[in-house]
Amino acid sequence: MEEAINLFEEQAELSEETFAELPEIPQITGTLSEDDQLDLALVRDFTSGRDDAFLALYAKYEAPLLHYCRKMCPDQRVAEDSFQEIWTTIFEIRSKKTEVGRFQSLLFRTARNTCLNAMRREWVRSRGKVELKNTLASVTLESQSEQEEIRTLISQALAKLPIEQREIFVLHEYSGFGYHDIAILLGKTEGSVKTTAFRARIRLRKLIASWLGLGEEEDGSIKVPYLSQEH
Amino acid sequence: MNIRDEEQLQQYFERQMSSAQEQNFLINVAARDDMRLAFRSQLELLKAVREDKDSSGSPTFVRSKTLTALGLGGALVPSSLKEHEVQQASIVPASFLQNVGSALKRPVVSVTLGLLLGILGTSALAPSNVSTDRSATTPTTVTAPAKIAPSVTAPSAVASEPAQEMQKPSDKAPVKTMKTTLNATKQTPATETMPVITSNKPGTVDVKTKISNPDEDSGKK
Repeated sequence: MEEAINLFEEQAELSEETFAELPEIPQITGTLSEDDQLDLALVRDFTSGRDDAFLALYAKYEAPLLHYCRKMCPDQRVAEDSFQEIWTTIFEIRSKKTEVGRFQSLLFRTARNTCLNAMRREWVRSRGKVELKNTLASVTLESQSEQEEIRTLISQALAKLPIEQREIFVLHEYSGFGYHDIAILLGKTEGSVKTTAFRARIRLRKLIASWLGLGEEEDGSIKVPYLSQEH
Repeated sequence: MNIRDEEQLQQYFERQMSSAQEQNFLINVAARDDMRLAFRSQLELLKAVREDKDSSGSPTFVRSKTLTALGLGGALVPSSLKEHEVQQASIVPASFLQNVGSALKRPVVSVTLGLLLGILGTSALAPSNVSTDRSATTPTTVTAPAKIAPSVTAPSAVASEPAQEMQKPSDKAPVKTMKTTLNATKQTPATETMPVITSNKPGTVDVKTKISNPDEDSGKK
């Protein structure tokens, strides 16, 4: 278990550069999908004073955004505060009359900035070292079942992934976006998104394999318990 | 393990493969140790992610907090109020009935209530008996067949025959006729208005119940 966690130790240290290196998500101005157009229609209704349009947008993006915040922010409390802050920023579209190109991009750009700010605040508070804690991570592993242990492990491992990898993994696996959508959302090519996701998964899988006792034996063969003769 | 294998693995778990592709992929997994390892750990990873997703608490608290902060708390109030109302509705009658029950257990209350009910009952029954004697049951006998009359009009040739028979065995038949009409409606629900067609003995059984009343009444009139 300790070895597994050590695989990610190199990623635990964050610095000011970590935050500075992340590129801003560009504003998308190309053709919009039907879903985006529906969102825009709701945004227009909302800016013209209809609260139910805002509630429709909220209902649509509540779950993916909450998952994003919970996995990107340092802890549960900060995640919930950030979630609230994001929707407050979105609500200000009405008074500020902000031009919205693609609502999804605007929402997740706001989410990313809010979560990064929260991480930065935590980093400053803890004098240079961010303690990326998770509610699950604080529970002792000895008292848990196997599945709970894996879940805890995943939470800890996710917290220690590079931010870009974590973001793409969370957007795909937790928020349910396809790679194409993530590419549009983050202003990247689909290929680079896939590559980043691939790297994230490799790291997470190594961790899982190490925890489950899978891997190379001394003789060079690979041990996969459920396919071996023992089981 | 390269990015191509990784793509295949991803496609398999996202169910984007055709059956032929899936077969090839599984052969590949069985043949290669690294693929088998990747497959198993990916499976565990997805399981863990799913459980993590499911275990993250309900968003109700965050939702109410966020929407209230935006001044939209009222938009979600109706549903929560409804729940509250349902709870209240289930509580109020119970407490009301409990109070009534405990009051009735007291002898003074039960005796006075019994006396009151007795007085009210006797005063209410006396005038109603007089009125029923004076006004005979004629209105009911007139109005009831008027509803059945339209269903009789279609089979005119048969209708005249059973109308005469029905004057005799009207008190024997009801149970039998009810059964046959019920069966008829079960088998062919569309023939409700034409009972003659559906029964085995049209002149004797079905038509009696359906047709007798209007004819009798017209005879009386």
